[in-house]
Amino acid sequence: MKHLSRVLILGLGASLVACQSSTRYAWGSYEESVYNVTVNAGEVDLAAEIAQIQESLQRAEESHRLIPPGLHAHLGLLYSLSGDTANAAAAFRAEKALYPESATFIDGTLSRANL
Amino acid sequence: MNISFPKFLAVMLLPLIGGACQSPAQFDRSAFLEHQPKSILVLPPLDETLEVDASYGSLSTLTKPLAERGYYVFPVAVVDAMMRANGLPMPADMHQVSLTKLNEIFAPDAVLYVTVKNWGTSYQVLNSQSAVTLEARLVDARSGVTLWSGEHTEIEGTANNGNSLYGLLAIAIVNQVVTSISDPSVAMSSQTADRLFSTSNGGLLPGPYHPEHEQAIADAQQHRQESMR
Repeated sequence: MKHLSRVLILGLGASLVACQSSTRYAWGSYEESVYNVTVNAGEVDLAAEIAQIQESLQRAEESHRLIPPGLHAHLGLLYSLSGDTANAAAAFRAEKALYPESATFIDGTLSRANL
Repeated sequence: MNISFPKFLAVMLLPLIGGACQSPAQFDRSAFLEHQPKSILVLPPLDETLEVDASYGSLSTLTKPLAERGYYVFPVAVVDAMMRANGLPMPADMHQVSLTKLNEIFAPDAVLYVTVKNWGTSYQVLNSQSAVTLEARLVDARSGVTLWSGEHTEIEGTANNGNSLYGLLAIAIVNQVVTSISDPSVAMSSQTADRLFSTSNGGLLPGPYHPEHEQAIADAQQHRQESMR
């Protein structure tokens, strides 16, 4: 029985590793943060969301994995909502640098916010 | 082992019927091949259910499958916040914005319009506990032509890998590790979106960030030429 559970745990561990590396991008907590910001907009803890996304970005860099489309800009939104315009602008620019497809939107966002 | 002839016939014919079901009339890829979008603007989904979280619960599950399929996906929460700040409080308002205006602000190659048709317990048809149905239409941002469309339903209990113990355990653990979201329809929506873009109407062809992009486009072009002969 002990042996069986050990095999199960090993198997599950392997499947988790397999799951993580089967995606092109390191998603981290992006989807969950989108949910928290949009569905739970009234009670969102912005400091906690920012910390989570920063950790997602850091983990992606440490493991040399690709940062998904939108993650930097999402961090920019979180900074912007919490009034930190300098960090918001930096995060929006990071999105544009990584994904030039976002240039029109990012440039417009920055100029509308006078950044 | 006594198998009657009608039964035998039925068994022999089943694979044929199954095969026929798996290859319906091919979705016309002409418009898609002509425009070949790289970036997709996903608008917050319209909600046809009475569930308050359907629109935004499903929105959180659309970016990953589209990006993994090789497309740049605009940051959905940023897009939503920007539209709200500009006097468009509801997804229905956002779906009314002209392509001209969307091009001016976002300059996407394509816009994805999604409708949530079932969200969790509101699903009654098969007397199941819950289901998620998503319908999607991808539109070329310049011409307004439909590039691809599809619909998919996941019903609770069928969303995992054939109900195997391994599959159930893996999903339970992954869900616990990855998310603290309490609405179980969100996990089902992820599965629904994944299947929608990979299977409905032959699936959305892999985009430019996908390693199989060029091969898939070449295959689709060849198929198109053959069907035009």
